[in-house]
Amino acid sequence: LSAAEATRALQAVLAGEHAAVFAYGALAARLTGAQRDAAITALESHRARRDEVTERVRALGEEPAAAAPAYRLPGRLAHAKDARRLAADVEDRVADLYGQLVAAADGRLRVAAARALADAAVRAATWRGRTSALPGLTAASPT
Amino acid sequence: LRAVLRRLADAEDEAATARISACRTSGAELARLLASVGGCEAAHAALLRSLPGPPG
Repeated sequence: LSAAEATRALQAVLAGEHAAVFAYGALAARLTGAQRDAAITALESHRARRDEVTERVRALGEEPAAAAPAYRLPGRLAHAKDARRLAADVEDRVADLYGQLVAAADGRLRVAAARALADAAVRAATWRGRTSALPGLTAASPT
Repeated sequence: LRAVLRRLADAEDEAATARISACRTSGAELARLLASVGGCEAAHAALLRSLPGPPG
Protein backbone atom coordinates (compact mmCIF):
# COMPACT_ATOMS: atom_id res chain seq x y z
CA LEU A 1 0.00 0.00 0.00
CA SER A 2 1.13 3.56 -0.64
CA ALA A 3 2.23 6.24 1.80
CA ALA A 4 -0.95 8.12 0.91
CA GLU A 5 -3.05 5.14 2.01
CA ALA A 6 -1.15 4.86 5.28
CA THR A 7 -1.70 8.58 5.86
CA ARG A 8 -5.42 8.23 5.13
CA ALA A 9 -5.68 5.32 7.57
CA LEU A 10 -3.76 7.34 10.17
CA GLN A 11 -6.15 10.29 9.76
CA ALA A 12 -9.12 7.91 10.12
CA VAL A 13 -7.61 6.57 13.35
CA LEU A 14 -7.20 10.14 14.58
CA ALA A 15 -10.86 10.91 13.83
CA GLY A 16 -11.81 7.74 15.71
CA GLU A 17 -9.70 8.70 18.71
CA HIS A 18 -11.35 12.15 18.80
CA ALA A 19 -14.75 10.43 18.84
CA ALA A 20 -13.63 7.98 21.54
CA VAL A 21 -12.42 10.81 23.78
CA PHE A 22 -15.79 12.54 23.40
CA ALA A 23 -17.75 9.34 24.06
CA TYR A 24 -15.79 8.43 27.19
CA GLY A 25 -16.25 11.96 28.53
CA ALA A 26 -20.00 11.45 28.26
CA LEU A 27 -19.80 7.91 29.63
CA ALA A 28 -17.73 8.88 32.66
CA ALA A 29 -20.48 11.31 33.62
CA ARG A 30 -23.07 8.54 33.53
CA LEU A 31 -21.22 5.73 35.28
CA THR A 32 -20.35 5.36 38.93
CA GLY A 33 -17.77 3.60 41.07
CA ALA A 34 -15.29 1.22 39.45
CA GLN A 35 -16.96 1.56 36.06
CA ARG A 36 -16.55 5.32 36.17
CA ASP A 37 -12.88 4.80 37.06
CA ALA A 38 -12.55 2.42 34.10
CA ALA A 39 -14.15 4.99 31.80
CA ILE A 40 -11.75 7.68 33.00
CA THR A 41 -8.76 5.36 32.51
CA ALA A 42 -9.98 4.59 28.98
CA LEU A 43 -10.50 8.29 28.33
CA GLU A 44 -6.90 8.99 29.32
CA SER A 45 -5.63 6.15 27.12
CA HIS A 46 -7.54 7.48 24.12
CA ARG A 47 -6.30 11.01 24.78
CA ALA A 48 -2.72 9.75 24.84
CA ARG A 49 -3.22 7.81 21.60
CA ARG A 50 -4.94 10.81 20.00
CA ASP A 51 -1.93 12.99 20.83
CA GLU A 52 0.51 10.34 19.60
CA VAL A 53 -1.35 9.95 16.29
CA THR A 54 -1.59 13.73 15.89
CA GLU A 55 2.20 13.93 16.14
CA ARG A 56 2.62 11.12 13.63
CA VAL A 57 0.36 12.93 11.14
CA ARG A 58 2.28 16.18 11.64
CA ALA A 59 5.57 14.34 11.16
CA LEU A 60 4.27 13.29 7.74
CA GLY A 61 3.75 16.96 6.86
CA GLU A 62 -0.04 16.67 6.96
CA GLU A 63 -2.65 18.68 8.84
CA PRO A 64 -4.13 16.44 11.55
CA ALA A 65 -7.87 15.74 11.35
CA ALA A 66 -9.72 18.03 13.73
CA ALA A 67 -12.26 16.89 16.30
CA ALA A 68 -15.90 17.58 15.54
CA PRO A 69 -17.59 20.08 17.87
CA ALA A 70 -19.82 17.26 19.12
CA TYR A 71 -20.71 13.67 18.29
CA ARG A 72 -24.10 12.03 18.25
CA LEU A 73 -24.45 9.42 20.99
CA PRO A 74 -27.02 6.66 20.61
CA GLY A 75 -30.05 7.11 22.85
CA ARG A 76 -30.08 8.64 26.31
CA LEU A 77 -27.71 6.18 28.02
CA ALA A 78 -30.21 6.05 30.85
CA HIS A 79 -28.80 2.86 32.35
CA ALA A 80 -25.28 1.71 33.16
CA LYS A 81 -25.68 -1.25 30.79
CA ASP A 82 -26.36 1.19 27.91
CA ALA A 83 -23.19 3.06 28.81
CA ARG A 84 -21.18 -0.17 28.95
CA ARG A 85 -22.56 -1.26 25.58
CA LEU A 86 -21.62 2.07 24.04
CA ALA A 87 -18.12 1.85 25.52
CA ALA A 88 -17.67 -1.61 23.98
CA ASP A 89 -18.99 -0.38 20.63
CA VAL A 90 -16.59 2.58 20.71
CA GLU A 91 -13.70 0.16 21.29
CA ASP A 92 -14.87 -2.10 18.45
CA ARG A 93 -14.85 0.90 16.11
CA VAL A 94 -11.41 2.00 17.28
CA ALA A 95 -10.08 -1.56 16.86
CA ASP A 96 -11.38 -1.60 13.28
CA LEU A 97 -9.63 1.67 12.48
CA TYR A 98 -6.35 0.38 13.89
CA GLY A 99 -6.86 -2.85 11.95
CA GLN A 100 -7.06 -0.84 8.74
CA LEU A 101 -3.92 1.03 9.77
CA VAL A 102 -2.09 -2.26 10.38
CA ALA A 103 -2.85 -3.24 6.79
CA ALA A 104 -1.93 0.18 5.37
CA ALA A 105 1.28 0.83 7.33
CA ASP A 106 4.55 -0.97 7.80
CA GLY A 107 7.46 -1.13 10.24
CA ARG A 108 7.10 0.55 13.61
CA LEU A 109 3.82 2.24 12.75
CA ARG A 110 2.26 -1.13 11.92
CA VAL A 111 3.39 -2.65 15.21
CA ALA A 112 2.15 0.39 17.14
CA ALA A 113 -1.22 0.06 15.39
CA ALA A 114 -1.38 -3.65 16.26
CA ARG A 115 -0.69 -2.83 19.92
CA ALA A 116 -3.43 -0.20 19.89
CA LEU A 117 -5.84 -2.72 18.31
CA ALA A 118 -5.07 -5.17 21.12
CA ASP A 119 -5.63 -2.48 23.77
CA ALA A 120 -9.03 -1.66 22.26
CA ALA A 121 -9.92 -5.37 22.14
CA VAL A 122 -9.04 -5.72 25.83
CA ARG A 123 -11.21 -2.75 26.78
CA ALA A 124 -14.12 -4.00 24.63
CA ALA A 125 -13.92 -7.43 26.26
CA THR A 126 -13.72 -5.90 29.71
CA TRP A 127 -16.84 -3.79 29.10
CA ARG A 128 -18.76 -6.76 27.68
CA GLY A 129 -17.42 -9.42 29.98
CA ARG A 130 -16.63 -11.58 26.96
CA THR A 131 -14.35 -11.47 23.95
CA SER A 132 -15.35 -10.80 20.36
CA ALA A 133 -14.20 -13.01 17.51
CA LEU A 134 -11.43 -11.33 15.54
CA PRO A 135 -11.53 -7.72 16.75
CA GLY A 136 -10.39 -5.15 14.21
CA LEU A 137 -11.48 -7.18 11.21
CA THR A 138 -15.04 -5.94 10.74
CA ALA A 139 -14.36 -3.14 8.29
CA ALA A 140 -12.94 -3.71 4.80
CA SER A 141 -9.25 -3.05 4.31
CA PRO A 142 -8.11 -0.03 2.33
CA THR A 143 -7.35 -1.19 -1.22
CA LEU B 1 -6.98 -22.79 40.47
CA ARG B 2 -5.73 -19.26 40.95
CA ALA B 3 -2.24 -20.30 39.84
CA VAL B 4 -3.62 -22.10 36.80
CA LEU B 5 -5.63 -19.05 35.77
CA ARG B 6 -2.56 -16.87 36.17
CA ARG B 7 -0.48 -19.21 34.02
CA LEU B 8 -3.14 -19.30 31.36
CA ALA B 9 -3.34 -15.51 31.36
CA ASP B 10 0.45 -15.24 31.09
CA ALA B 11 0.44 -17.70 28.18
CA GLU B 12 -2.25 -15.67 26.41
CA ASP B 13 -0.25 -12.48 26.92
CA GLU B 14 2.92 -14.10 25.56
CA ALA B 15 1.03 -15.35 22.52
CA ALA B 16 -0.43 -11.87 21.94
CA THR B 17 3.02 -10.28 22.11
CA ALA B 18 4.44 -12.80 19.64
CA ARG B 19 1.51 -12.32 17.25
CA ILE B 20 1.88 -8.54 17.32
CA SER B 21 5.63 -8.76 16.71
CA ALA B 22 5.00 -11.04 13.74
CA CYS B 23 2.90 -8.29 12.12
CA ARG B 24 6.07 -6.41 11.24
CA THR B 25 7.36 -8.95 8.74
CA SER B 26 4.06 -10.17 7.31
CA GLY B 27 2.08 -9.09 4.28
CA ALA B 28 -0.60 -6.45 4.82
CA GLU B 29 -3.65 -8.69 5.15
CA LEU B 30 -1.86 -11.36 7.16
CA ALA B 31 -0.56 -8.63 9.46
CA ARG B 32 -4.11 -7.43 10.07
CA LEU B 33 -5.25 -10.96 10.84
CA LEU B 34 -2.30 -11.50 13.20
CA ALA B 35 -3.06 -8.22 14.97
CA SER B 36 -6.66 -9.31 15.40
CA VAL B 37 -5.68 -12.71 16.80
CA GLY B 38 -3.23 -10.94 19.11
CA GLY B 39 -6.09 -8.71 20.25
CA CYS B 40 -8.20 -11.80 21.03
CA GLU B 41 -5.38 -13.32 23.04
CA ALA B 42 -4.77 -10.11 24.98
CA ALA B 43 -8.52 -9.92 25.73
CA HIS B 44 -8.54 -13.54 26.91
CA ALA B 45 -5.67 -12.74 29.26
CA ALA B 46 -7.53 -9.73 30.69
CA LEU B 47 -10.70 -11.74 31.27
CA LEU B 48 -8.79 -14.63 32.84
CA ARG B 49 -7.19 -12.17 35.28
CA SER B 50 -10.60 -10.76 36.15
CA LEU B 51 -12.05 -14.15 37.11
CA PRO B 52 -12.59 -14.61 40.84
CA GLY B 53 -10.38 -17.19 42.45
CA PRO B 54 -11.73 -20.10 44.51
CA PRO B 55 -13.34 -19.15 47.82
CA GLY B 56 -11.22 -19.25 50.89
